[in-house]
Amino acid sequence: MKNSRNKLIFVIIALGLALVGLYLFTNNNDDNQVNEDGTKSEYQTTQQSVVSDTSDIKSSQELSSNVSPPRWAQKMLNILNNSALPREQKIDQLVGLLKENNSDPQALTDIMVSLTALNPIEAADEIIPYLKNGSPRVQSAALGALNNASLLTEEEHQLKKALPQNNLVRKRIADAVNDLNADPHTSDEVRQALISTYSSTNPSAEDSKKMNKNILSKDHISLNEASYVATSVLNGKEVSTTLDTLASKDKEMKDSVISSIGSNLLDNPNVVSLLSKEQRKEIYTFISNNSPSTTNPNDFSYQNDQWKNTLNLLSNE
Amino acid sequence: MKKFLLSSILIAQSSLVLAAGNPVAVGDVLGRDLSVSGFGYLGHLGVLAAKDNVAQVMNATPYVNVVQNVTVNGFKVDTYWGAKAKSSFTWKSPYSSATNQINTLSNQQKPHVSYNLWSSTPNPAIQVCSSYNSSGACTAYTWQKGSFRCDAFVKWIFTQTGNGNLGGSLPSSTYGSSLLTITRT
Repeated sequence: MKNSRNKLIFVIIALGLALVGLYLFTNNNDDNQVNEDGTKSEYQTTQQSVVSDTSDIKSSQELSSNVSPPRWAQKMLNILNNSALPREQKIDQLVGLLKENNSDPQALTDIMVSLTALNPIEAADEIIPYLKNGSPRVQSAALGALNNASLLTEEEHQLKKALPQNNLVRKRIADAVNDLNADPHTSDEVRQALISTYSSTNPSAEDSKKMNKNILSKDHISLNEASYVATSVLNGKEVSTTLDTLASKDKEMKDSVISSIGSNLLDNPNVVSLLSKEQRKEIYTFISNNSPSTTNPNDFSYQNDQWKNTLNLLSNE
Repeated sequence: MKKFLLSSILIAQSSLVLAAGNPVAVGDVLGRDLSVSGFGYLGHLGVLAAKDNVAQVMNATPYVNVVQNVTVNGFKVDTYWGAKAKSSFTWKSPYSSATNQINTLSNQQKPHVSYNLWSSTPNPAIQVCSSYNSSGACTAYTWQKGSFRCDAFVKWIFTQTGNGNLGGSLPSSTYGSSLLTITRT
């Protein structure tokens, strides 16, 4: 009798432990603030505030109390989380940290990612040498930092024009990226990262024309290449030439570019206003004549969604 | 007595194993163990984008393959936590399904984001004006690069699809979000 009671007690304890374990497992949540936010329109501003960029990074402060990051990472987090430091000083100190960790590709990549969020035009000349780093990830991260360094500054957005001194920096970035592009030793993955940044770092008509021609000379293109062509077309660059060339390509390549045009448009419908009436009609006709062709049901469903939505956006006055 | 103690532990463990079920619906959040060099234990999250297709963010080459799609088995390369779900996973107009919106968002971000181990806050790539004409009108847009960690990406997918903010500052705490009320078994 006593033995049976013991059994029952142990079973109850076991079930209790299981429930406690399950509870802890599913509720290890100390700071869930359930707010409905992050609507798409919040991300569609044409003048992204650098202040909001740095505040995004501030959340990493939460992380530092939970882990023991390496010394360089702790220094990086201290810089990013120091609200007393203005953006320029953060950039300056992060560049110093890059130099201290020249032999550590992981440190260089992560510091470069932090710099990227600060749109570091001031540090462009310090970042450019990392395009020749031995690690493809460091090279790619440097391309991203130079992409955001090439963007218009807060002051330029307010003035609604690019400043000559900043254009000189942008020219040096464009030249360095073209050198990397021309280098036969540049790896395929770095080349893909380069293509994804090229519309920002090398926006000149000449560079756009060359890149578009190079991409469209291929029989198969990557997502990055499709995105580049889409950005170019939606900016009204090389529209007729690009669409004429695409017309002779296979359905997969057309699907890929049309899908990227749709992604860009859905993210930022304002881009339609850059196109002339003729360009808009030309793009509309091309897309309309090339409905999705994939036989994969999932791919077809989402490409068909994009296809229809893109046509709707292009037909809106 | 020892047998009973062992049984107790086995029952407790099996309860957790039973909880580690497969995802069954688009929007289900999957979790597993992950340790990162120079960081230690982090954990990892992904979100079911379609049947047997998990969208996830991994530490890979920036702006090339950070956003990835893997099978459910491909996701379970380390100790699997299971899958949890919101009671009703929605999507936004003009998309016709959650799969379509998640796929579009993933493909849109893939060429433009890097991996950021040190932040749990979503920092998506966005399009910004890159030049103005003399009248002050924007004449070109380009992509401002962004970054995600795995949990930040899943949180972003939830807010973009209109499913609320999962919260949390680590994958484990995001996985424990009070929005995820259903545990797949």
